[in-house]
Amino acid sequence: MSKPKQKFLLTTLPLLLLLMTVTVCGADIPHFKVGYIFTTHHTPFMVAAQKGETLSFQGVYLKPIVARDRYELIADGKPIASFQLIVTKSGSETAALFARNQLDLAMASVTAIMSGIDKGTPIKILSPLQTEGMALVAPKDSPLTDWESFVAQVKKTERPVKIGYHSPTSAPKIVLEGALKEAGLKVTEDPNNLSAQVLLADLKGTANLTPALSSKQVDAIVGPSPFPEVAVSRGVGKIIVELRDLPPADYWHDYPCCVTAATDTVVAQYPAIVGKFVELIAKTNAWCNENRLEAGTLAAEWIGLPLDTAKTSTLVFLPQFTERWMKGAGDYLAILNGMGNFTGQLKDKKLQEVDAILFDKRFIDQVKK
Amino acid sequence: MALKTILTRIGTYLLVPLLFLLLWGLAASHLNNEVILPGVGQVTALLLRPTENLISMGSLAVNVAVSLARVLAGYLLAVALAVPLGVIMGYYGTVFRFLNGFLALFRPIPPLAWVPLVLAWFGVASLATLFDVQRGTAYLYLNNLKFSMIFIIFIGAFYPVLTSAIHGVNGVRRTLLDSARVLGASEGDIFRKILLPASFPAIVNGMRIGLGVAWMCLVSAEMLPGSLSGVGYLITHAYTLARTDIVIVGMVSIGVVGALLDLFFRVIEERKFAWTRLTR
Amino acid sequence: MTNDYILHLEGVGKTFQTKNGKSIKAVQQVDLDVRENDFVCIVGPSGCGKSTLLRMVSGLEPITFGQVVYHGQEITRPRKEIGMVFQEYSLLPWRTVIDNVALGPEFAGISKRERETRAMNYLRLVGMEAFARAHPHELSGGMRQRVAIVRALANDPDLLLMDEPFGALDAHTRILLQKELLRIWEQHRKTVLFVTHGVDEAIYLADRIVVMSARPGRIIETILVEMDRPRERSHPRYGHLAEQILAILEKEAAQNFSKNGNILEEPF
Repeated sequence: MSKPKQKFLLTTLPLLLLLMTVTVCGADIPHFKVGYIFTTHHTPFMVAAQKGETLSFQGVYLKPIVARDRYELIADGKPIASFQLIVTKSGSETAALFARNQLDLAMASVTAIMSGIDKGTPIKILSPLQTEGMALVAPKDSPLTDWESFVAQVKKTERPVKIGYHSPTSAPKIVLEGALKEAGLKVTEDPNNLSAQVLLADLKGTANLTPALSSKQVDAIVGPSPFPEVAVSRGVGKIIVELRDLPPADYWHDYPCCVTAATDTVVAQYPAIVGKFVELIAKTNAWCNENRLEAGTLAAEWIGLPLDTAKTSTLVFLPQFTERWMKGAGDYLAILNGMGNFTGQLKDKKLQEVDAILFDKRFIDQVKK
Repeated sequence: MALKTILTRIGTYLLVPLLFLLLWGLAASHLNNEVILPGVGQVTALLLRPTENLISMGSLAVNVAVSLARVLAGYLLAVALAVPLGVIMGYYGTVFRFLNGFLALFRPIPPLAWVPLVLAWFGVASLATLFDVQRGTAYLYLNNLKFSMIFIIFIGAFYPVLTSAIHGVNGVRRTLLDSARVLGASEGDIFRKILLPASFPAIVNGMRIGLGVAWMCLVSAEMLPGSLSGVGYLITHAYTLARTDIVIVGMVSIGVVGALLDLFFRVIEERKFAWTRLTR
Repeated sequence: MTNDYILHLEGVGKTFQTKNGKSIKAVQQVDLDVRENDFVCIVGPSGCGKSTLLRMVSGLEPITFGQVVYHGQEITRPRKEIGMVFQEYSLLPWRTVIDNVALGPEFAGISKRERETRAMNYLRLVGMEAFARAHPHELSGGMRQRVAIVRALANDPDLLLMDEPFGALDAHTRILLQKELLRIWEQHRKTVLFVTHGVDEAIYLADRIVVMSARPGRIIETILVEMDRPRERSHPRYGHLAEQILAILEKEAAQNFSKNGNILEEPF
């Protein structure tokens, strides 16, 4: 390369670097970065994105601008916001992006959002997404058929039975652990503790759930949809029990998992838009409950799952916070405090004490069914 | 050429790969678990249909093309910066002394370790953000070139190219420079007509290595949030869905493209730089 | 014989500084005068500083003490009038033979056609015209040195410095090239300063032989050859000179050995 060319590049490079930090907002309508995860827990959002105008009867819907990437939020026939979709790998990544001010709205697990709030990230939980959609999966050729036979098996086996989970603060792990202790089993996370009956193993991510089961790294796995369904579909495992059905009866119904969240700044500056967003999710939630198969299929297509997983989905999408849900959230708070996870605002607090820090329920309360 | 020679040649090239495929097939049928090791046929079938949509991510061919575009963007940026800088550092001892210590601190840092910082700085900004393009096909193309990914690839390619350029210039025989001087060369002549051509083989070699490293950074780069395309991302997404066959297809594609890029450079090196091999 | 000295070395010395601050005196004090069209050989053991001395004369090496004066001008940097031939690795390997020979004129800004014509003429001088489009790596050592010599000549210098140009060649090629050098020199008379550690080579080629001591180098003795060319090695004077020079060198080596305790290398 000739010297003049070299000089040109060396001078324009810093300029480019400067420009790179600029994020662009639409001139007319405000622009938001919306984070979500490739899990069927976020089906309503994916459904709204795919069905677009066909959901216009809801009064609020999404209009695709660039598929899978840019959408406009349409309310009362007018575009009020522009969304840029960002896929994250987990709730923790979502919380981290919130902390770096790289997300405005998102869907993630309630525990991940709580962790973010505990660290001081200025976000609030707006509405629930779903409950259920968590299952215990054993290898395909296992003789076990349900929870009772599973517990019996655990009691019989001499060495600890290994169950893998994807994240220590995740709902499936917390629920399962609770149920195991209810059943009077000794649970540990220390692989050297051979006197325990169940060993819970951190598989460090949902992607590792199915391979761990298929390579016999663990005896069973517990995880959120769609991973139990993927394991079934790939011929690797079979679902022993949906976590909602764990004893005591009815106890684990409506257990929280995913929620919608927003930054305090966005809530303060654009309350109307946030309100419409919450309305979109709530109404699409209702639609998904009524059209389970189609919702499941759309979600499967979006993520790239085999379509038969759509048929076996057990997700229930909530229109608003229920008492059970709040109780479940309170349980999470207590359990996570017990694990020493919270060191900031949520440390050693009960749900009622921190309700105002965690939630902003104005919007969901306004949504009429 | 005699038929026997041709057959021997083909045999030599194909023997080990065929053996490998045989072992794979045996292992796959023994394990009988496509999540751990899919069959050879399954993977080949996918490779033979590169335009088919895979796990809602578009086709293999398109994803490879996207990855290639990203790698080239980061790589060309690295070359544009590293070659001039390396030549200057190799030729001017003072510049070298100023910069080398500082640059050497960053050299051992693997590109993957830059990810958290890069995410914090660039987020999901891309060339589309830079040129303020928000819709249409231009957006689709430009948005795929995310600054965070380009940076990771850039940092991977930068050091091999820089180091080779410095060494190339350093390693120019003094007699060549002396001969030119006694023949009446100006400093400009020395730089353009002696130094650069003499160091060119080393620089091009560094560029070849740099491209290889850039290509290898792909998977780490494409794990950054934001973009949902590229063969590196295809692999991670396929893993999430326990589609090991797609994982392997992705790996094979990466291997094949990487080998072709390397071959491209080797051909150039052999044609244009024959003189390096036989100087004494 | 004219008395005009065109090259005058006065008190020339060189001291190198190593990285750890030590000083190495390579050349001690050299006084030398060279007349126009003289063929002077500098002979000395390896490492005596003769190459360093030559580099100082060429302007490539900065002088620590004394000065080199050429045609009344002090030499501090390389000049076209002073050409130099190196022992090896001096041809640009990515260029063809003819592009190498035309290098000097190229730097001088002469047009392509003219410099190629000139280069071809010089290649013909050494019978290398058929190899004009070949690359150096395709040539043998002897052929490369022929090209190196005509490359220096093509720039039309007045003074030609030669730093052990045949040192890397086998004995047979060396002798051939010695003959060829003299043949060229007969046609294109130049002042030549030729450095070698071969006593035989010096006697064959030079009018005057300057014997250098071991490091730090200084001139021990100057010997006039006074034989007609072409010289026959069977001539008694040839052997006599050889014995004389070797004796000087041996004595020098013995002195150095007792002084330093090192065994210096043999001159041949």
